[in-house]
This record gives sequence, structure tokens and C-alpha cells, in this order.
Amino acid sequence: MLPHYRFDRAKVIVGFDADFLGTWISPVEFTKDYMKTRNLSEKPPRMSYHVQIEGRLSVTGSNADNRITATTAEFGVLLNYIAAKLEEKAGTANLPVKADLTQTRVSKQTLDKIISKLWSAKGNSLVVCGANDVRLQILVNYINHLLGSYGATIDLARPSYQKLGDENSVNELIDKMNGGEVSALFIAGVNPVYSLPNGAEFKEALQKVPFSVAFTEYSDETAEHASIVCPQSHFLESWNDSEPVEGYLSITQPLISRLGLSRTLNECLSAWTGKSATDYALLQDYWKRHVFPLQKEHADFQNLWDRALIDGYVEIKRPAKKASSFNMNAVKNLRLDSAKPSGDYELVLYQKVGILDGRHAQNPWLQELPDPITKAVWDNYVSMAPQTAKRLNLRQGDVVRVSDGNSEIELPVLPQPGQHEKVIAVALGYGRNTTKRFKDIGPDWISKRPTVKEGETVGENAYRFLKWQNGFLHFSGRVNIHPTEKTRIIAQTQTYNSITVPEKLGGERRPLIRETTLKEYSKDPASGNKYKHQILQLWTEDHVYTGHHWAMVIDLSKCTGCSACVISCQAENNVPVVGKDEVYRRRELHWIRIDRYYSGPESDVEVVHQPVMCHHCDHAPCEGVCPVLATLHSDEGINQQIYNRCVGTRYCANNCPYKVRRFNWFSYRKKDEKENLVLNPDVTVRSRGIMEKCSWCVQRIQEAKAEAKRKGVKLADGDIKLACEQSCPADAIVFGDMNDPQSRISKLIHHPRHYNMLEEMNFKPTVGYLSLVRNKE
Amino acid sequence: MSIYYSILRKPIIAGDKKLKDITDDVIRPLEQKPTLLWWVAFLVSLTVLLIGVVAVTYQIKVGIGTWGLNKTIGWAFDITNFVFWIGIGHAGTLISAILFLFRQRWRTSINRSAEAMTIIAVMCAGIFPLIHMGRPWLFFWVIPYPNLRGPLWVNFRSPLLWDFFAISTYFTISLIFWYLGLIPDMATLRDRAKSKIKKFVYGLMSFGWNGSARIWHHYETTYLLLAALATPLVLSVHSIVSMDFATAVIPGWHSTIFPPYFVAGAIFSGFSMVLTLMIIARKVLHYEEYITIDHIEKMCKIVLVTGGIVALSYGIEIFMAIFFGNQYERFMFLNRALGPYAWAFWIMISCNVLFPQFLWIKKIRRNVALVFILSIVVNIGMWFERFVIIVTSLHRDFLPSSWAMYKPTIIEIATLAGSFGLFFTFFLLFARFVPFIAIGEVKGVLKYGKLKKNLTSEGSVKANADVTV
Repeated sequence: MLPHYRFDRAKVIVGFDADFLGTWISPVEFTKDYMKTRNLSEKPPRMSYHVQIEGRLSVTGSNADNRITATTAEFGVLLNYIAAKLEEKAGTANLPVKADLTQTRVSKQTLDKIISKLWSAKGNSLVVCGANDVRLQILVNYINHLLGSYGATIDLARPSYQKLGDENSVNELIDKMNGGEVSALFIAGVNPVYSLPNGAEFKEALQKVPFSVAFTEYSDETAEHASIVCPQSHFLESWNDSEPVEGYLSITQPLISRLGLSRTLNECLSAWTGKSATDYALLQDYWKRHVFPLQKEHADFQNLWDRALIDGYVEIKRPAKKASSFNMNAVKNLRLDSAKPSGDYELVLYQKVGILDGRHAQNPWLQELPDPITKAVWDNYVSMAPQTAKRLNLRQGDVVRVSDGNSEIELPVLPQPGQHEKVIAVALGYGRNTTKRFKDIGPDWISKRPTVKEGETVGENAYRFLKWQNGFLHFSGRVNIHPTEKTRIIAQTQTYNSITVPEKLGGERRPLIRETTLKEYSKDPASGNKYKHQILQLWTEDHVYTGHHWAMVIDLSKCTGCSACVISCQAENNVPVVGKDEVYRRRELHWIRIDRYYSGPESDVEVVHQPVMCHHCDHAPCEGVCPVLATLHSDEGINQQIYNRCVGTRYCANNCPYKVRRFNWFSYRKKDEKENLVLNPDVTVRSRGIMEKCSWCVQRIQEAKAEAKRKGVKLADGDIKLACEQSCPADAIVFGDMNDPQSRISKLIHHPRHYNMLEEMNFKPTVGYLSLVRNKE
Repeated sequence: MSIYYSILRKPIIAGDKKLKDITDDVIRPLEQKPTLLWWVAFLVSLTVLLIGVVAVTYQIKVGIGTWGLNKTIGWAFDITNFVFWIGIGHAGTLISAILFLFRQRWRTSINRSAEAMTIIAVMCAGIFPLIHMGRPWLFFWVIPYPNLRGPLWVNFRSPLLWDFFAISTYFTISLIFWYLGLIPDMATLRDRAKSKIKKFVYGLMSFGWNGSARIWHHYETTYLLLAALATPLVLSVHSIVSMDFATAVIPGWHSTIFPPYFVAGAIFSGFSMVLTLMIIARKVLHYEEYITIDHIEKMCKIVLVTGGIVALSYGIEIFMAIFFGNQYERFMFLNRALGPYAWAFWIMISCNVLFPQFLWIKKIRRNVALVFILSIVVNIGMWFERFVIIVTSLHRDFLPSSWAMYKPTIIEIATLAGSFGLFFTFFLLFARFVPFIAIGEVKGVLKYGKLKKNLTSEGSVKANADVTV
């Protein structure tokens, strides 16, 4: 059973390599909950204390108040020590082993501090661990048990129903298939040939199954070897339901009619069982029989159904299951083996927010989504600490061979500040067959480097490094690194990573990020935000905004860097995908980007994520320089780009201090009727040779205004939701009318944490930020 | 037996030239068949030009993406080349207009070719703003005229628009000024022409010039007026070009010193280019007696002075950056001097500040080979100056997240080469079809510095011969 973690109830969170803000179990939900614990508007301001212990730098780690680097092999000792100390405090003794802190670099003081924080927040603390190791999870459970987290921050009464796959039985299945015991195999929603370390074995076993059916949306590695492939409708073409957490039933509705001849799994099964029906009928029928009786709120089924469609979910109550009690025997019998390293480095396999386990590999938007940490696109790579790279005399892009004795993989090196010296990290989800089609992506010209070479895939498959151990797949293991002669470019959207300029060029910090600590903030809400300039103006304000005056505020304390806004903006605004080479040439077209800055020493960096889009300056430097008036200011304060007037001098982009303008270097659009269905009809498709940039989703503003006019009501605060704002799980982005004194934005603009980037230049940007508050000493 | 020289002034034209000799010397290359050297030079230039044409055609067909620009660096080779060529184009009008007004009569030997150089350089320059547009076929949108598109007007606040006016005005005036000076020589050509076609063509081009005093009077009045009109343009064109940068907000661009600094730099590079061309021309066309060592020395002095202004401007820029207290400005300078493009900065400093100092030495000023090398060095330096101003300012501006590097593509290099191809192709055609030296004007200064001339002189006399009274 997977419990439902309640981050919203936690005051102290300790994560062991659990990337719960990035990819772990339910990151969107967790991000929202996590942000509820970090509420600075309350009095006194409240912020959970988050410690992240990990080897690589994850999205979650980048947001932690205290980040400690440790290898996965050390987790046992660390958890054991924490458990033992908590036992001491609780006055019990069940642990059979004593922690030997000599096996870890993490100091006793650091751990003791964490333990005292955990203990003082007893009942409101939460320890989570991403390692797929029963023994570690027993320790974590024991710690949570000692802390009284069960029933508080860990909800067992309403467990989570996500990620419930049983790895052990997959191996059994392979044995059975080999043994000829399986005469028919139905495969849906998984791709074992690709994602199992012994995928080849599965493939061979699959050949021995006389009848195998693969249900899939795209031709994948497993489907290629099945006897029958059933093309599945995309989830946006079909009806379905789900129950991510006990009692919360959600409906998936189709957004478009089906593009091809496809069926959903439900339809296939119903057709084959002789009761052919559409997925809509099947779903309604199911809800009538199974969901409707479980609730009392709606007397009429149609009411329930309508409610579910409007809200997206319904809540039902099933008879509570008997909560199982904590099995102390598991703790008593716990045996931790001290890690015997057989290689030089610990390989950590992780998932990226865009590609996840590889399920999104065929999606070019997500391939071109910059990783929140490395800012790299279209590839996986070997991340290693900069010190390690220096020691091995490796530079970014040098290809190394990683081997664990059985498997080998060749990938380029990417020095990653904040990573443990002994850890190298490789992303899963790459090397998919479906990515061979990207050989033609991006503009075609003489010096073009293809995103993938003919017959090659995007990145390499790292699944073969997963290890079966006691029936579970382990995401880390010992490996060796061998340099090769080869190099491979890594395309990144940001190549200078520090908020300070290089040491030999002055080494000063740029005041673009303003930050403070919770302690300072509690004393003075304007702390860390004192970099104010007196701006003298020669002229009277000649452009007075009498109607709306739009503005945006982004809370740096809330942004986790997850990059959902980047993709939603791309989808909303018809932003083309340009391919790896173009990104390498620094020509990606994303209208919103998330600048990720490091500060502090390379081995222990602090990270900040800063979303940047067009700042819609009231004194916009771009507007004055355009010779043909292709960029103008609207009477509502929007910096507008008039595409069909633009002749493409790029002067505006040069003069933009925030560098948010994007140029159409080539003609990116292809005549592909199917592909072009993805385009938003409300947004102009831009041609070659013109400038574009964030329009603040002007189509949404116009729509909301028209709607209000039609209804004869005043446009209310929050009626307009920009794509980035809408998709932000942390609610870090707020958009509104600053001429309306009651709007959220008006209040935020006068918040002591509010500042504008480069305010001393008097560009008067209408995008502002709220300073970053870290809960640290 | 000897020629008498003034003790106060050296003669401008060396040798014992008669008026007819001048006409013969200048027109000789036009009446002969082109030499092998000319053909080789012409075909090489034309080939390079065609390479440029191919590159530009490809770029216009496929997109600006064929250049090495990116989201951070929106201008690089294109505008560098533009400013470079505009700068080259400065010397001609300066020589013909400002030096004319200042009664610098030595200008007569070089003004024709320097003006031709100006016109060709401005043509080379003018191509770049055109092709750097994302949609060059819509270039006419920057022209303010009553149109059917609204009418949509242009943005009079944009320096790019001022550029358009400044350059087109400069080009027009330069062309008219050059052609006006050409009219008497066209008449000479007409009078010497043997074929009827030539006579007709030159006749048309000389506008019926008859050499009467009245015509000369009109001609010289017009010339003076045009010189007065062209003079402010010499200063305004590069001032306005500099405003492309000065009015922007980017550290390294946003600077009030730019207009004078750019004008000085333009004259500096323009005179260097004149030196380069004249040193070749006097050798190849045997004009050593017209374009004497004294001419070269005088031009070297102008290079030295303008180079000094340029060096001073660099100094002031650095001073302002370091002592002004703006962290972005300070960083911009440190980044230029020590950052990833430091090599370009130090090429600029050594070529524009260090090497020209050799010109303080008279022996070097009078050493044709050394001056030739230095003139090329200065132009390399001045090209890099524009590259440094444009690229190093853009590549690391306010937000470190957007910092990027620029590397030219083969298309850009071919385009730069093509602009040189265009320049030399046209210049060679000029040397072939138009009198290289203003015959009428040189005749006017023939006796300058010569008190008495022995009509029975034998052989040539060195211009620097000891003064005998």
C-alpha cells in the first residue's frame, strides 16, 4: 500500500532522494501542498523546514532549505542513526543495529540538528525516501512511526493508488513466459522491453508466448514484438476515469474527436467480450453502477455526472478500511549490509520532469523543455560534480563510457554543481525507438547538425543499469567511468549559471535576485529588498492608464522551477520546436524561461529559479528603437508585437535588457495537416524573419473582456488567467489589473517583498518579483 | 638647368610636368588595353563578389538563421561590416569637402579616387542594413511616404530610421559632388575621344562643358557650395550611425561620447584605406609624381591625429566604466578586456592605439612599405573596434542567464568577403573607366611651390631636391 503523503500538514520535511516536487509519485499535488506550508502572508510568517538529502541535484533539492549531499549507499546509515536517536527520545529500543557514522561524510552535528527539528515538530513532520529498497523504507516508516506521522502527515485511511506496480511479479511473469505457461499476454500502459533492465530477456520470452496483444498509442519497443498491436486513442481523445487517491474519483474528458482509427482499452475489451460500446457509454454505465451508490449528495445520476464533469472529480466515501498497525517485527529483524563498493562511483538513475520514465519521449515539446536544473534539452548525459570532472580531466561534452561490469553506456559529461563527488547521475527515459523520427526536426540548412543522426535515438537508454535486488529494481549502483575520445554537444538554454559574475571580472553579485532568511523576514518584511533607487524624472507622465493597467507578480519563494509554465506557454502560444542544434546555438523560442542561478561554493550551491518573460515595461527600450513601429504599447500597458509589420531588424531584441525577445531565424512551420492541428487557432502563427515574444496571452485577455462585456458585468480580478499562471502548481504567478486597488496584484505590488529587476534603469517593467525567503540560519 | 623651388613650400606635384603631361598621364590607363595585372585583380575581386552574392542569396532564401546570431546577440558581423564600411566611406568626402574648404591644395591628387572609394564603400555599407533584416523584401517600410497600408508611418524616434536618412543623404551628396568634379575631366575625355560612340557618351556625361570662364565660374561656385553642404554630412553620418548604439540601453552602447568618437574613428579608418589604395595605385599606375611621399606623410599625420582621438575615447570609456560606479558598465569593460572576447579587444587596442604611434617617426611616415602595412593594421583594428563594441556589449549584458557566445558562420564570412569583392570590383572598374586623378584640379596646383621653371630642363628632378634659389 502506498500512503497518501500530506505535505500540507508538515512543518519539518526530510527527503531522502525523493524528488516530490519534480517527479516523485504526484509532484503537482505535492507542490501545491508543500507551498501551503510556506505561507509568508500569515502573521507571523510560516514556513516548513525542508531538508533534502541526495546525491544529485534534484528539483526538490534545489528548493530545500537545507540540502545535504550523500550517496544512496549512505542512506541506510543516516536513517539508522536518525531512527536510533529518535528511539532514544521516544524511550524505546527496537533497532537491532547501531549506526556507524564513519560510513558517511555527513556530520553528527548536522544530523542531530535535523533530528531535534523533527522531534520538536512531532506529529507535523514527515520523512520520505525515494529509494526503492525495502530495508530503507522500513527505517523510514519506523522514523515516521516514532514521529507520530501516521494519521497526520501520512494518510493511510485514504491511501494513494498511484504507482502500484509490482516489480517482483514481472520477473515471475518472465519465468512463466519462458516456461510456456502463458498462452496469451495483454500488454497495456507499459513498455517492459524498453524499461526493464532485462528487457531483452522479456523480448525473448515474449516470442514464446503464442498470442500477445499490445495496446499502445505509439509504436514502442514492446509492441514491435507483440503478435497484435491495438492502436489506442490518446487520453485527450477518450473518456476515462481514475482514482489517484482513495475517495477522489476523477473523469478524463476528450478534448477532440479522434484523429485516427483507434479505440480505447475499455472499448477493445468490451468489443471482444461481445458488448461493443463506446468508452463514453462504458464509463457512464460503470459510474451508474459503481460510483452512484457510493454517494448520497446527488439523488439523480445525471446530477452527479454533471457535477463530476464540471469539477473534474467527485469525492466518495467507502467504508473505512482497517488501518493496519505498525509491524515492529520488520524493524527488529532489519539487517543493513554495509555497502561494499565495487566501482568508483555511484550511479543514480533519475527521471526528468519532461520525459519521466520515457513515456513522453515522442513529444518534441517535452524533449525541448529545458531540464529545471541543467537547462539541457534533447539528451541525457552523465552529470557529475565539477570537482570530479576536473579531477578526471573531463570537460562538458566529453563522452565517457559508464560501465557496471554488465552494461555499458556512452554519454557526454555535464558538470553539475551541487552534486556529490562520488555520484554520477543519468536520466532514464532516453534512447526510445520513437525518437528516431526526430532526425528531421528543426530547420534545414547547410551548417545544420541533426538532432539525432539517421537511425539514432535521443539520448541513450539507461534502464539496463537498473538492478534487481530482492525483487525490487534499484535505481542506483556502483559504476566505473572511462573517458573516450568522442565528444558530443549538450544543448542548454542557459550556459552561465551563477548569479555572480566571474571572479576575474569583478566577481560581484547581480542584484537581480533578492533574498532573505525567514528570521530576517519575520523581523523586517523588506529585508533583503533594500536595494532601492530614487528615480528622478524630467518629464511628467504622458501616458496615463485610465482603464486597465495589467501587471504580473512572480513569487520567487514559490517557484520550484518545475517548468510547467514553459510548456503551457508553448502550447497556448504556438511556440515552435527548433531542435537540438538550434538550442545549442541559443535560439530556442520559448516565450517564458526559468533562469536558474547558483550561488555559493560549487560543492554546496544554493539554487534559485526565476521565471522570466516579457516584462511589458511602461518605458520599454524595445519600442523606441523599432524603425517601423512594429512594437508598441497598448493603452492597457501591454507591450505588443505586430508581427505583420515587423521587418526583422532585431534592434528591439538587442535593446531588451531582459533578453526576452525571440526571433524567427527560419521558417519553422511545416505543411503537416496533422501536426498543425496542435496549433491554437486564437494565436497567430509567425513567419520567418520576424520578432516575437510573450504577449501576456493577449487572446485570453481579450476573450475575458469580451465575455464580461457580453454578460454586462465588470471584469473581475482573476477572470483572466494566463497560460503560465494557470499551469503553475505553486501559484507563484499572479496576473491582474493594478488600476484596481482591490485586486491581488495591487496588494502584491505594494508588498515589502516586491521588487522589479533593474528598477534603477527606470524601464518601469510591469512584471515584478517577490523576494526569495529561505528558511535557513 | 634646374627648377626653382620655393623656400617656404614644397611643390605638390613632383617632376617637371607640363599641363599636357598631366592629361596624358592620367588618361593613359583609360586609353590603353587593361593590363594583365588589372585582369587578374578584377577577376579575383569579381569571384569574391560572386561568392558573396551566393551567400547573400542563400541567406535571404533560407533565413537569418544561416548567420551565427542568437537570442542574445542580434547583431554581429552584419552591423560590424556596416559600420566598418561607412567608416571607410568617410575619408573621401572629408578630403574633397573639408580639406577643400581649408584650402588644403594637396588634396587634388587624391580627392577623385578617395571620393570614388567613399561612394563604393557606402554602397558596400548600405547592403548590410538591407540584408540584416529578417524580411528584406519589405525594406521600403522604413521609408516614410503616404502609403496604402493605413497609411502606416515610420518611427521617427528610431536611430535606424535616422540611419536610413543619413546614409541615403550622404550617398546622394557624395555621388553628386564626385560627379560634379568629374565634369571637366569628362569634357577632356570627350575632346580626346577618337570613336564616335565614346565622343557621344563622354559628351553626354560632360553636359556640354566648353571650358569657358563663365562655365568655370559656375562650376567652382557650385563646387564650393556643395563642399559646404557636404561638410556637415561628414560629421553627421557617423554621429548618427553611432546613435544606433548610443541611444540604446545596453552597457557598452549607452554612451554619450559615441558621436565624436565614431567620427574620429571613421576618419582614422577612412584615411588608412585611402593610404592603402593610393600606395598601390601610385605604384601600379605610376603616379608617384602626383601622389608623392609628401602626400603620404600628410595623410599619415591625419591618421595619427584621429588615432589619438580614438585612443582618447577608449581611455574615457574605460575611465567612465571604472569610476562611474555602475556595476554593469564596469563589468562590461572588464569583460571586454579580460572576458572571452579579450583577444578581439586587444587586437583593437594594439592595432588602433599602439601601432599607429610609429607614425610619430618621420622616417616611418615616409617609408611607403611601412605605411602600407600600418594602414592595413589600422583597418583591421577598426573592424575589430566595431566587432568589440557590438558583440562584447551584447553577449554579456544585464541578466547572466542570457549570456551567450557568438561565432560567425561560413555564410557571414562569405558575405564579409563578398563586400570586399564588391569594393575592389567597383574600384578597379573606376580606375579603368574614370580618370583616377582630377585632371582639372591637379593642373591648378601644378605650379604650386615652384617659383620659376626652366623650360629647357632635362630629365626628372626629385621632389625633395635641395632648394636652390
